[in-house]
Amino acid sequence: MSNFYIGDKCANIDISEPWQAVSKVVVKTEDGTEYTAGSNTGRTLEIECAIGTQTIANNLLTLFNGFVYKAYDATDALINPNMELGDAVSVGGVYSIVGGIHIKGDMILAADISAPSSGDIDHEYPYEAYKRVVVAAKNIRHGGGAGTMHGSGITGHSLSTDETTEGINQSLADADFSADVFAGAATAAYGKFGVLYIGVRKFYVDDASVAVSNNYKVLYALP
Amino acid sequence: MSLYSASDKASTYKLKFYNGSTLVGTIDSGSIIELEIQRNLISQSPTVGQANAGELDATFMLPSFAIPRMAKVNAILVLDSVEYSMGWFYIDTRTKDQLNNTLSIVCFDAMLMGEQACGTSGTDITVVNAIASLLGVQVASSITSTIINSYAVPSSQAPNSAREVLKAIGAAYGGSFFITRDNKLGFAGLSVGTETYYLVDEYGDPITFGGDRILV
Repeated sequence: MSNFYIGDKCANIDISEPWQAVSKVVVKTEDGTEYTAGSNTGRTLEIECAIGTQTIANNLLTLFNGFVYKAYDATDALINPNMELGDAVSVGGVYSIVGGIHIKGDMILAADISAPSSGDIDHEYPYEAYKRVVVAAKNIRHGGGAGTMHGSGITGHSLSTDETTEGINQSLADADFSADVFAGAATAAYGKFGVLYIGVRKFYVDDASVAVSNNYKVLYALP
Repeated sequence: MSLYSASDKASTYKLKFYNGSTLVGTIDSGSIIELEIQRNLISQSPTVGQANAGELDATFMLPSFAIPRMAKVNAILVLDSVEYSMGWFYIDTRTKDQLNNTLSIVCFDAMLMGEQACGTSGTDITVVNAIASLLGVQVASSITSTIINSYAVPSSQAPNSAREVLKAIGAAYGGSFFITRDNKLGFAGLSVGTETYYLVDEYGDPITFGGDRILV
């Protein structure tokens, strides 16, 4: 990590109120288990961590105890070309992390840099979370090869935007599935972890996911 | 920790296109109409456990050379005749404008390759190294110096996407993964510690005492 000084060499800077110092860490795992470390004297940092343990919670408290996050958003800051994500920067009187760099190809190396506040959400993030897709499970077959599955005769599928039955009933346009749906081998029973190929689309098959009805299987579409 | 000051000198850009490791052509600054690079360590409210992909959007005059599908693009900043890599990306989509004789490309960095099953379990550093191979990149020194606690990544995580597993490991270390400007898998924590920097003058140049820089 390097430390950069920009000072007031930016077109504009918005600075949010700094956090209250962190005094407690809560690590949440996928199954709902929570591991807690610290006290309630300051801010609680909630961290979703699929491999979370009490040891991890304790170590994170050691790391973050007393930590004060300072959010800022500096536009057209004259940055050094060596600046990297995660570096420290002093800009507009704020010392914080370089959480984002947006270079706009100007003649002067000016970039928007930021450590986002809670209101800043990157809606332009190119990847979407896995989409839940429901297909007829009886039509999924293991196609041979470890972890690889093929779609065969996928019909009557529907897309669920969430885990509700309303979502299941939402009709899925066939644009994503085309005629290629019917390509692929069908040699064994379904029910394996792995990747399902339907034409050029890839789906992650998680057998541990909830089968929302007897005839449907929840899949996760890969972008 | 060292100080780097801001630069207000004129800069130019170029885009180098590769087919694998073979350079197939370069677009110089004079042919570039628009160029944007967006890279985020933190894409939401202050949090850890992210693994975001960087994005390059560029429009330039149609080149004389053929750009292969999924070509690798190195965005380069030229400042004082020195070239700085601003990132390595893969072409995702391209749009040709015949009327204006331009080509627009949208590219993402190697984190894009993380949208496939991780397939590995074991200690955290073992899994991170395996994922780096999956992404086709090396690991940065920030990883080997940070991912040191040998947290267990259970086999139940193996079917998850590589990005999801990176996010879990990153969260365990209070930080996030990203692809560095020199195309390595990097890691950075949310906390940057207390403020220390070297004293500089109004132009950002270091002030020295007997040749030594002054830490304040």
